[in-house]
Amino acid sequence: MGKKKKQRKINKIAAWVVVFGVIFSEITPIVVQAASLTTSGSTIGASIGPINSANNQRMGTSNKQQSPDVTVSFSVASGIITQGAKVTATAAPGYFKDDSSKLYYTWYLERNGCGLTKNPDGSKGKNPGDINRCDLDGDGEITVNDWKIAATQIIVKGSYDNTGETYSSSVDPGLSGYEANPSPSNTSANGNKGWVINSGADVNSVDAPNCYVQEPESGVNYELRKVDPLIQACPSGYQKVCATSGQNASCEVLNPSYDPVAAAGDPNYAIPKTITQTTDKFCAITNDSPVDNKDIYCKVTDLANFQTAPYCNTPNAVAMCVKYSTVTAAEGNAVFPDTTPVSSSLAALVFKKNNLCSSLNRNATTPPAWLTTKNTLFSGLQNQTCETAQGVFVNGDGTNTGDTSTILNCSTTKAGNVCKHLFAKEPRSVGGVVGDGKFTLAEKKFWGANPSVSSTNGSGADEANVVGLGVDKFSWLYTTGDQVGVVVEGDSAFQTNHADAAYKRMWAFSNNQCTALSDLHNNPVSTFDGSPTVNSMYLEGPGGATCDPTNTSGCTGFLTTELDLDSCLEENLLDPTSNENSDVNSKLNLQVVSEPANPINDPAGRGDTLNVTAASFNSQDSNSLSYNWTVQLSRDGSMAPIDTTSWKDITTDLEAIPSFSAADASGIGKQKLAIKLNLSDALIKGVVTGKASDGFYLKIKAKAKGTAIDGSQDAEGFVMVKVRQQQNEIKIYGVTANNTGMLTMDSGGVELCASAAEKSRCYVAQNEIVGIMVDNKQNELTNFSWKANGAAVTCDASVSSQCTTAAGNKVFVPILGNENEAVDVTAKAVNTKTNEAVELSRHFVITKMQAQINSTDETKVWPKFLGYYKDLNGNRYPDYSKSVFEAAQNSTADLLATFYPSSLADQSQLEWTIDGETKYELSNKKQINFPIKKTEGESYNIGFSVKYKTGSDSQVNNLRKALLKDWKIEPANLIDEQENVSLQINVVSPGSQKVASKEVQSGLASLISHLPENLMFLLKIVVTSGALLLLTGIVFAVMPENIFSEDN
Amino acid sequence: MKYKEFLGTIFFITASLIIYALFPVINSFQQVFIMLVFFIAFPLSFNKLFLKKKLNFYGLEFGNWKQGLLWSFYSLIIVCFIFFIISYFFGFLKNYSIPIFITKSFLNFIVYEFLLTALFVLIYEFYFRGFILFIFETKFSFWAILVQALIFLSLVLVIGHNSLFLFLPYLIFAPFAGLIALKSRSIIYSGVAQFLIILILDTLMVRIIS
Repeated sequence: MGKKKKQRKINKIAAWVVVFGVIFSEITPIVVQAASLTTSGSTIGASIGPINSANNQRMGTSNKQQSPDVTVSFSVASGIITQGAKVTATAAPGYFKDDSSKLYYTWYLERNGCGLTKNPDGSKGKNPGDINRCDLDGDGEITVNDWKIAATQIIVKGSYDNTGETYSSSVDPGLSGYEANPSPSNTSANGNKGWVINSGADVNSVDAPNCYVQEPESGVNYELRKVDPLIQACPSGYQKVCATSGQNASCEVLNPSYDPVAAAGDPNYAIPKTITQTTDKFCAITNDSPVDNKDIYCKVTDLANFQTAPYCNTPNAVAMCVKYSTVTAAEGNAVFPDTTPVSSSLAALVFKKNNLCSSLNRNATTPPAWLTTKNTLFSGLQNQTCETAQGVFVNGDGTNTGDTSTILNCSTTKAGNVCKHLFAKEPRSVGGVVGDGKFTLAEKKFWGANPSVSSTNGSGADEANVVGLGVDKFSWLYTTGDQVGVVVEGDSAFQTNHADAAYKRMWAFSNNQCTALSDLHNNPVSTFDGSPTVNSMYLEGPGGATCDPTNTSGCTGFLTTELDLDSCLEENLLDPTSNENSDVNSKLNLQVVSEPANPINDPAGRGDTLNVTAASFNSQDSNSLSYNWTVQLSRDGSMAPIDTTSWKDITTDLEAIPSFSAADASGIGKQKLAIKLNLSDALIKGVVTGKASDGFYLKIKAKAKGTAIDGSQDAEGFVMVKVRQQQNEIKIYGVTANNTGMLTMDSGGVELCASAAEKSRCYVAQNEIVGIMVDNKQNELTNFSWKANGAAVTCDASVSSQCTTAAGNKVFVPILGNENEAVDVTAKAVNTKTNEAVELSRHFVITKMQAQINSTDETKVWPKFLGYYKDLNGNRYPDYSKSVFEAAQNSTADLLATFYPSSLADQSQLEWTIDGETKYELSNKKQINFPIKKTEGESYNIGFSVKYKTGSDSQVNNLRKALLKDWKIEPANLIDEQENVSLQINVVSPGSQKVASKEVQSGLASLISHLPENLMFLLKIVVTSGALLLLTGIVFAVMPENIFSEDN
Repeated sequence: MKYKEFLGTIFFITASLIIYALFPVINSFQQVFIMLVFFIAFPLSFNKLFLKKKLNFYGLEFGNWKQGLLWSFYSLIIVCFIFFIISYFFGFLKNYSIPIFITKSFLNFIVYEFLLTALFVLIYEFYFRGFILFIFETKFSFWAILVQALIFLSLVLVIGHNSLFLFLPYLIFAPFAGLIALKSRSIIYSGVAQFLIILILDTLMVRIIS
């Protein structure tokens, strides 16, 4: 062979070596990995993963199948779900193989007050309901079955009213019946493989049709089935044991200090012959005859990878196969290598139960010296764990070969099927089975069906309606608190992993929740410890054959659960009123609106009235809604509010003003609130931290509470309103006119109606012309528009030379009208700085011109005390004269003339008279004084005549001209008013003073207190009269008859 | 009239006037009441008990209406002239006062004049002209006019000296009233004339004040 050929051959061989080497190196880790994946216990007993184990799948995609689901929507004819409305729930299933008409819809209805009396775990229900009303199956508890019955009865009955129905006979049960699939009964037709749990059995046949449920979060599918554990036997010569590491014993041995000789000769020898010594720690058998599934059981160590391992019940004990020997010097201990005598190179040791002391020759007859030799044999394995020993037994110690057949395995096999339909269950007394194909008379009666027909509601046989075949709609009369759910059963769109053509029969929950299953799924380790197992697995071999537990690589794993799906129903209830799939809106809500849009606040009380209205929606009885209004003020002043704006509740402050009454702010039917915008500057400044001179924001909130007919719902709404502040001022001045009727406002003179009270209400005389001006020194305001009682008022050069611009800040207004009528003058302008509209107003009241004389010092001149008047409660109040005053002799009288309206003070001519004599030196003086020279008992008559209207007659005429020229007011309408006022001052003795006002006395007390005076007076009169007449009589009696001479 | 009766009457008049002057009153009502008691009730009681004369003795009759009207007319003229003189030269009207309320409205004025003033006129007429004048006339004849006027003046001076100007119309007209009463034998005409004088004066005052 040539060199080249040789080289090629070598290369070929090398390539094959490399390939095989790579393959084997890849395979080996899989085996090792599988062995090391067991979580606890022995690593020897682990299974090799099946096809669909987690480790054999990339990304675990086989578990991520879409499961069937259902969406429920609610609708009502009126569009609003209210008490008594007929609500229809419509289920829209998805990912089922069959169409809707072949699916089973189990509807369930929880009425308000029908909470479960017990939870699925047996604990007491959160809100247990009224058993008398809600326990429809008569079992003494309120369960989900009662809810199913509540809904199913409605479905079956439809509009049929069974009142008066005697249920004496019915149509053929078969006609009304419907046999569910899978059947709830074992029949020959179904090969005795029905879902007989629905008939009352505990478990279905092993081969009953499978069913599955998907854990919502992980997407893992569980087969509803029981499984049985199987622990394999040990090979011949081996036995299953449970051995525990770290075992030691206390042994009695000869005391090395003991001298038998000396002891024999000395009766008082004190040294004891034996002492107690504790052995070292070793692996020792703790249970040499464990019972399967009791002392030793099969544990699922890795559910995802379908792995199991045998475990001992004793804590920390290892389940293992050990060689049981009686012929070795070890006296039954399991040793490796297993030689006789025991090898000095012992690699593994498991002591027989309770064999430490004898195995270590630790006894009372053995001298310590010999003990040392024996001890050395085993002491080298002290502290060896049972797992290590087991490992040596199986794998050898490197010199001696182990025995892999001694690996103790366990596995699971599938047991009974626990699938059941979730149909409503009839009470036992009815004697029927739902979905068995026969709908008996008793069943008709229980469900309220019409016994005379096969279909009471006209849509499918009665029993078909009971099982919910194709019943994708459920309508019922809604009452507040009702909740509805549905669970849809059918074959999903996905096939099972079994070697058959079956599709996974699954359920879809209305809210896609099953917390119980999620909890079990999240607790991955389940045990076969004798208690009911709920989550487990089993392996199925190829073609459905039994899986060899020693070689599971060709097997398929199935996760199983025994969970009762009824325990998932409660969390899948839906509230029609808050379901996102509803096209109804039954929540009570409020919308609040206000007008006017830009109201004005005026602390003087002339502000706008803000009318706020709350409109309610979705209320069954809006007239019974109880409202509560609150008003808040933004602390940011005129800055537009944002989410973080701070608000202060000023409701109480406004009630105190009052801007509205407390009674208006809350109560039934109080859907409107009128707020008088008369907030004081102090209130605003006390709240607002920002600028509020040009406005502030109010948030007016309304809360409405519905009555029971509205489900006692609460609703809230609010509106934010920008309130403008009455800035700038309207000032009023007196007016003069020239002989052509041109008016002039005395804006440099005294401002009229300047007091706080007069700013709210300015009294003016009829036909008086007032000059009105808005202070605009900064020229911020432009485009003035004036109105008097809604009628436009203008001022231009034809009216006054002071009106330089058409839309200026000055105007002359004649106050036209009758006595006690009002004139409102408003000015609107635009603030060029803020570009906001400004509105100002003044309120005028036409009053009759009046004048009065008053004393400026009541210690000198005081009104005469007339007496008392009594009010309705009998309280006495002193009454003083307005026209008769008193003054002390030799004092000085100070008198003041006061006018209504006050503007007349400067527009009037005054002439004073004292005792009829005109005092010209006092002319036009509003205040006078003169000495009281008269004596006591005399009096002064003080008078003054007031002639109204400004200045001389020509001024009056000029004003007349102006009224005629500018406003077409006839001169005859303008009357010169003159009024005479008088006052009498009685002079009293010096030292007199105004009768102090006494405290108000009650009427009865006053009468009683004066009664003695009047009675005393009468008594005096009577006594005096009698005395006088008596005296006269005495005089007549004593006088002689013929005194002086007789006369005719 | 017997002297006994005359003297007894004088005693009665004196005593009653003294008691009247001293009797305590605290208000206008009591004042009017005691005036009615002392000036109306007492004389009537005295007459009933002691004098036993008919009421027409005291001028409570129409009497001689011609004389009454005539002398009333004369008296009014003279008195008005007197008031003119005293007003013009002595400023009577400046010191004469009227209640301010009667200047407020005509109704007040009417009520005041025809109720209050008339009542006072009646009281004074009955007592001073009806009782005193005709009693004293039995002994003093026409001098009784002066007597009753002086008695009235004394009473005013004692009681109402601070209100002299207020009583001046009564004082000035007192003798004229006595004359009218004696001439007509009736106090009706003197009373009416007295009332008219007051009315005229008050009207003038109201006019002046207004």
